[in-house]
Amino acid sequence: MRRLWLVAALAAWGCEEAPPPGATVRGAGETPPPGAATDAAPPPDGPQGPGEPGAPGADGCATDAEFFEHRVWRPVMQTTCAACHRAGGVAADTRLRLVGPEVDGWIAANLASLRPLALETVRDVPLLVAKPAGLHPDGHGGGTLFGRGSTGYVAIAALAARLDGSAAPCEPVAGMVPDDPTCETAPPGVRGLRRLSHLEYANTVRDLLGLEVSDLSPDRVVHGFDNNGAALTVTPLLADQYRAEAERLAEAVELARVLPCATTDRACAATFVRDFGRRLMRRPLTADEQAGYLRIYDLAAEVGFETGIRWTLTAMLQSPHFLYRTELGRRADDGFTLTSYEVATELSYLFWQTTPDARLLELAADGRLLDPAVVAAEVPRLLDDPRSAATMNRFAERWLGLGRLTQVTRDGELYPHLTDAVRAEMGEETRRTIAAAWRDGATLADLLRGSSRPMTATLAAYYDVPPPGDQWVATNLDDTPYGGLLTHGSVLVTHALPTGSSPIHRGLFVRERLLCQDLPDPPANLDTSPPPVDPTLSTRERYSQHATDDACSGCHRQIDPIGFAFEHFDADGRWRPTDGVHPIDATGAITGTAATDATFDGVAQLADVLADSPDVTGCYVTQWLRYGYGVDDTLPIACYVSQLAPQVDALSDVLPALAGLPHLMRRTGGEAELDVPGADLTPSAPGEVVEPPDPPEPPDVVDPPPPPPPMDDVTPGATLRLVEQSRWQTGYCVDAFVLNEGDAELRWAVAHDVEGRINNLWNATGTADSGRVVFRGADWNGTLAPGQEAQFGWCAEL
Amino acid sequence: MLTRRDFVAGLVAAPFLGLLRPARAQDGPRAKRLLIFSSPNGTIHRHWRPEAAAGAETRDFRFPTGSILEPLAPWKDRLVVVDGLNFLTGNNHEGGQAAMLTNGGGAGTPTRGMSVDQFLARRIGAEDRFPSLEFGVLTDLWGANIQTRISYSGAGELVHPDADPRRAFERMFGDLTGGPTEAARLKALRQSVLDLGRAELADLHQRVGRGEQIKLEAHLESLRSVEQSLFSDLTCDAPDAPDPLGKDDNDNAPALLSAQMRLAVTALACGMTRVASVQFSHTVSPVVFSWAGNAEGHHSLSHASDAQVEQVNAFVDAERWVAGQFGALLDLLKQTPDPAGDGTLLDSTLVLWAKEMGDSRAHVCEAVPFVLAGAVDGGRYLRANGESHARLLVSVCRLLGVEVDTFGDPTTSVGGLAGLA
Repeated sequence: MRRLWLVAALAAWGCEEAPPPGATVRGAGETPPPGAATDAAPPPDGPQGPGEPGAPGADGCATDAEFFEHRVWRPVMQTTCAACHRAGGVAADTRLRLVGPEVDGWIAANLASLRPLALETVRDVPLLVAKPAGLHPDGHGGGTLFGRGSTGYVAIAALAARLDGSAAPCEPVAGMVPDDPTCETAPPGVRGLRRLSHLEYANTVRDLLGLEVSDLSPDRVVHGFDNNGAALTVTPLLADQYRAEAERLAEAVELARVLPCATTDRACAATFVRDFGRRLMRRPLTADEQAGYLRIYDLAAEVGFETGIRWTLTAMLQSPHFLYRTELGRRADDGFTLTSYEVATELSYLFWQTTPDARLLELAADGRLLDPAVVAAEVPRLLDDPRSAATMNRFAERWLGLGRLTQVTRDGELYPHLTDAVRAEMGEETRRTIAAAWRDGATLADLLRGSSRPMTATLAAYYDVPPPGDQWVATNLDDTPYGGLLTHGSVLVTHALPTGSSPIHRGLFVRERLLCQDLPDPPANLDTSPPPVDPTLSTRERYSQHATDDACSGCHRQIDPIGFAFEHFDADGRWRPTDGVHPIDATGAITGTAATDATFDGVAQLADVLADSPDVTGCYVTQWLRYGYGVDDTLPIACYVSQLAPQVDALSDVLPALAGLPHLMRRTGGEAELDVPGADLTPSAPGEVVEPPDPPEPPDVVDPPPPPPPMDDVTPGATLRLVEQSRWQTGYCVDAFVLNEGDAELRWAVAHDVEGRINNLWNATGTADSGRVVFRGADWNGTLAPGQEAQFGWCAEL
Repeated sequence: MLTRRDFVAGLVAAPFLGLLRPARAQDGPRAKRLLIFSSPNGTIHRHWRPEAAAGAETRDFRFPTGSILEPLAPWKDRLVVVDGLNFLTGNNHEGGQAAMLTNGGGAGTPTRGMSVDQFLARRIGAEDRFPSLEFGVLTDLWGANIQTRISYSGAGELVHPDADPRRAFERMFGDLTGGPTEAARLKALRQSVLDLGRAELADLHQRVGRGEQIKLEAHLESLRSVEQSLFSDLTCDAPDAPDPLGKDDNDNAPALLSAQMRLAVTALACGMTRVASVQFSHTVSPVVFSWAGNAEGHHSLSHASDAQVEQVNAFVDAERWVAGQFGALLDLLKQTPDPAGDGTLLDSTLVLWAKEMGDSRAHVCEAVPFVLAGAVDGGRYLRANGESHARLLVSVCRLLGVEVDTFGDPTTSVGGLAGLA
């Protein structure tokens, strides 16, 4: 288990120097019973190479101190952990006590505090990782803060591996220090598949079929975004929705729109498969793929040509080649280079969130898109298209949480004027503001400061500002309390309570969405009753309790003083001179940031502070990296941000900057991985035109797969290796690995005398649940090439 | 052309073949199905707890006037009210929601991180039209994350409820509108489309790294589920489709919940599935129980201190409304005959009302309230005195005839809950 978390952590850094299993990792292969305390011996004294604290960074490799500061403290610990684990904090009595840069020798002091927690393990996971990751049997007072694979998890796991001496990979300082301008050493992401987000699916279907799609089961939200590549999967519910939607769309589509020919024969169907298939799959289909669709056509065409075409389309709309965007590429140099069609797809979804247009496909067809100069020349066209402004608005909706504007509830008696119509116009006001800023080359600072906004008569009356000359004409707001983005009704209403303003919601909004500093949930065992509604106190006075109560102050002193700046704006998004009968004190402060610490009075001053802050620009870029490339900080984000931020002046500079990253065209991948399907149809060098093959004839008899091995027989050449994962009083679980040690492909069957009775078996079938069991692989792992390994496993009761 | 009703009528000659078994001699009721009902944001114990005689198990208890469980008084003899269970593998809103039906546990544990409904679905319902069905109310608004989901098909693998009754209905009953010939053709076409998708996934599978292979394997598994739901015979007539309702509108919640409960009971009665859940919103839910007289969000109210009398009363009003809905669910089950002739569905269905936290004001998962009903020896109040709620999950499995010793993290406890199974 230890090996697994560690290797995962290293892999997530894109580190190609992950130690071979068992080679350098203390304890690998041992499997102590769960819950047993593992008295890990401290690492031997003496230099351990570049990972030793204080050791000079040889060959540009980061020292532990540098790694801690740049990889762990700044992005993770200074807000998420130090909120509680600090002198006077709610977790001050625990074994982890952190100090900030204001203390001399703070890095050494923190490392000294962290080291014992890295050496002590619980179920073979360092305490330092187990606690915040929710893997400790006694839980964590602050709750589960980091899921596996998240930035926090990866950073802390890598730190733990350094501190316990089990791994000290070379992390180039050059790729770590935020102000490093080159970022040349930062690797691109791992090759993979990105299922279309629901938005991308809807846009793609609209562009290709001219039809609107139905609501689909919502996807997992990561960092506020619903397009994270790792989280986009196909569940049984979604698979059925894709099926129902494909059947409905294929039935509803106007055939003239998709058919390339006027005849109604098989030849036309074959051309349809080839040509429309290329649009749907965003690349030419292989001959085998075309034959597969024609088999569907032949079956359905028994009823007639139209039925044949509709069912062919039904199949295509459920194809993984349509539903997933591949970022697999073909092997090149020491990694993978995306195919030109994949680059066209990447660009199109990055800028427009829809399928590539004819021009991009044409540039892909002869490989020209693999030339960075051609990409650069294409960027202005992509950016000038109104679809890129729409992309910015969809980004802003997720970034600022504005999707909830129409959903958040308000007490109708307290806020009778906040009607659905007003909310709808508030949303439109923000969208128009952002679209105009994008189009006009405005900066993020302009958007935050803003002095005029597109307005309607209804909204102007609602806000009590001068009416516009006409619907949605910009109104100057200089003489009003309203101005930039933070005073938009949409932002203020979304971040408030049903019965009042909320310094907490608004402070968190600034902290997490504009400064990218995620804070932990309130810890358990804490009375978190909101301040009672006491008519003798103002909202601010009630909430100020959070800052005086020691248990709460660790976090709330980072939240509430920002939120207080908004106190002149009520939960209905309107300015108020007083909070009920109480005068309003809108002074506040930001603390604990790299470059944004300041005090202010009111939202306008807060907006000024944020507008001038490099932290906010960096956060804007960070959020765009997440959204634009669908990644969850598995890229070296800090490094990329340092590279991108100087290129981002206008809001809209961010997309060209993203398109300039090596990640647009390059990926890393494993040794045994094959090229993307159809890579042989994609030119690898500019100028080399490859025509899609002619539509195939009806297929001959397909070669049957190799026959399964006879029952009770074990495949020669297949060896079985077992790794016990856990064991308790009445049962155990193992992972099993089958290796093809022979020279030929084989369908494997392996036998094992099973201890106890199997109550759970995965990735294989078994002939019995106890005694001598013959295991066989599933559809996807049953056939092994020479040297290839399949994994399955079981749990059994004793 | 035959209508769906005609088509279905043709199948009624052989209803519930799989369920036509002689009733076994047994002690007490026997659970054949599981129905989970969940509602969020913990409780306030002094307004929830029954008045009861001392001891770990008693039949001498009552629901005080004005208390949260009082609306369930007519059902008291069918209930087992369980107090004093702690979550040892998760705390707070999010941790509690994740642990509620899983008791933690990673991929390397016997239950592999599955929630109890999904674990049982694989054991008792693997061959059904749907191994399980999940119905949600106001579960789409925040998208999917750990806070908004209660079911797991594996460690960290969320199972999403359908928040739209109309869409859930269409999935349950399909769209068979033609005669037998057309139905056979449709089946053949759908089968060939699924087979082609499978072949394409297998090809893609060879070309990607391990992380992406897992994704594709999940997709393959999903296609198998689709196949099973499309091609298993429908053995009962479709009721009228639910009225179209805005699935994300706060004030539609009562109508949405009512529709979803009806669908869940219909699915069980038709033998479409043996495992279903009805999830009312989710932890940290800001839903405003306006129909129960509330003005503030449920999450805010759940944190009101005892000094905030009005808010506490509003929270109790909301929770009493939920208790009443749980009672309505039991009533639906009681009105529906068991298709195998074993009394009513209530007699053969184990119903579990689960929450994700104990005292919401403290954000802790201690003394988390559970109520069991239906196919269980009812009329009892159990005090678990800080035992792991894994014991309850083990008992739920055993009541459904699935013998396990641990659930989720196997180190938290071994064995079922005293007084259950």
